[in-house]
Amino acid sequence: MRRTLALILTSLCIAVNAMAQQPLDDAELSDVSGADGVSFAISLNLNDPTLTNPVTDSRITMGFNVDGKNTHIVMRNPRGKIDIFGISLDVEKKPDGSDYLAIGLPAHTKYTDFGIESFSVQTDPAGPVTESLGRWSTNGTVNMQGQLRMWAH
Amino acid sequence: MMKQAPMNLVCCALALACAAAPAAAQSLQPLSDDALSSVQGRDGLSFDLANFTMSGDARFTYYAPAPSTASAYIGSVYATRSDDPADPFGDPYRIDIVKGAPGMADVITLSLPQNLNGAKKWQTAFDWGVNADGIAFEGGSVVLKDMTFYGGGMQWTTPRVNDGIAFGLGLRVDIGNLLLRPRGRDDITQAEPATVAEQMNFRGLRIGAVDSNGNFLNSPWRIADVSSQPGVFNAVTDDAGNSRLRIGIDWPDANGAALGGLQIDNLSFRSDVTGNLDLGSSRIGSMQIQYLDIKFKP
Repeated sequence: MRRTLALILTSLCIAVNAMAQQPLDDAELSDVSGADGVSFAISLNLNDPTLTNPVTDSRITMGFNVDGKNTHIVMRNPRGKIDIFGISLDVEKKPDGSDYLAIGLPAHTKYTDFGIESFSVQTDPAGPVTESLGRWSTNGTVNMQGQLRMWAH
Repeated sequence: MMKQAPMNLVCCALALACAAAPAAAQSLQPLSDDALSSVQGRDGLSFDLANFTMSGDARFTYYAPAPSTASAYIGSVYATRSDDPADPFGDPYRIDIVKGAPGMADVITLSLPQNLNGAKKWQTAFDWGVNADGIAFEGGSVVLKDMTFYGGGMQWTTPRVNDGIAFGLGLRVDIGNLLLRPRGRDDITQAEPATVAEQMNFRGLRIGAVDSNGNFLNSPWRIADVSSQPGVFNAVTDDAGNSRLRIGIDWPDANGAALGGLQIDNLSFRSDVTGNLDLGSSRIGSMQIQYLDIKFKP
């Protein structure tokens, strides 16, 4: 069975090589068209403490060595939920003929308790948080319209 | 079965060899360091907004560290920006990586549009409030009408000494009206709608570089500059073991700190309780930030 499969693969390879591929220049390639973009939605649940066996100590840290002492910014337990609808990606042409990436901004973004549990500065990034500067969270919806356009220069 | 495996491997190797043969015929050419350094692609990223508007009821809340239960929020942010229909791609935001001073790290730069004709205008508003000591205070709305940036931007690199993020900041902005409306947002397309009972109105704000006589130069005020007076963001621990978040601006080089100006064409108050008050204009002709050091502690 495996020998048969290998022979078929080899035959296919030879057949493809026999039909010589034609190079496309940039202009021809840009004329190739199919569906002209992609839309997508995102639903993110991050470190949800209500689920089974949740993470209880997740940290984002940044360390700085200043005058020989290491100090770390610690953001503990980033968590919450974000639902994003209506983002799109497309490639469009500028008036001069060059291309740009058009990102359609999300029509609807819903935040549910999205934030961090504490923000602190300490010498031990893994140590207990004893001097928190506070915490923050975001709730509610944001509706956007328009495009973010990006291109190389 | 054990004997078939080597044969299959041979077949696969032949298949790969077939596919690779044309590529191998076009032999790769080695590049010397000089040749490699002359290879160029596009070396930066441009971006811009088009037809941008955002709104909604999202609320960002900061909570003081326990045991305090105090909090403060901003919410219901609204923002929209007009475009330049005559030249939608000619004056974008730009991100580049440029060479730093000799011996120093390269610098990431974010440049705002020059916006010479002022077509790119922002209209923004947000609500704010504070909840502390059992009292929930709704602060009303802040409205920024006709906010227009002309050039300027930011720089990021590594500091000359110690760790951290060194930054530069250039600002040239005109704001048609900065409105504080304690009883709510009302009509943000107008500075003085009849339906607003109370508000404070800063009209005609201007921030930018000035000459030694306080005359605006129509160029960004270099509040921080990575080459001559860098800002720095990092975290430090003092000799007593106290760790602090730090934001600062270093002393300037021998050329001194850049000169900036702040102008307010008119400041007025309107109230259906205490009456109206016009405080006239205000101006800081020329100012410099020689040094700034902010540390945050709980």
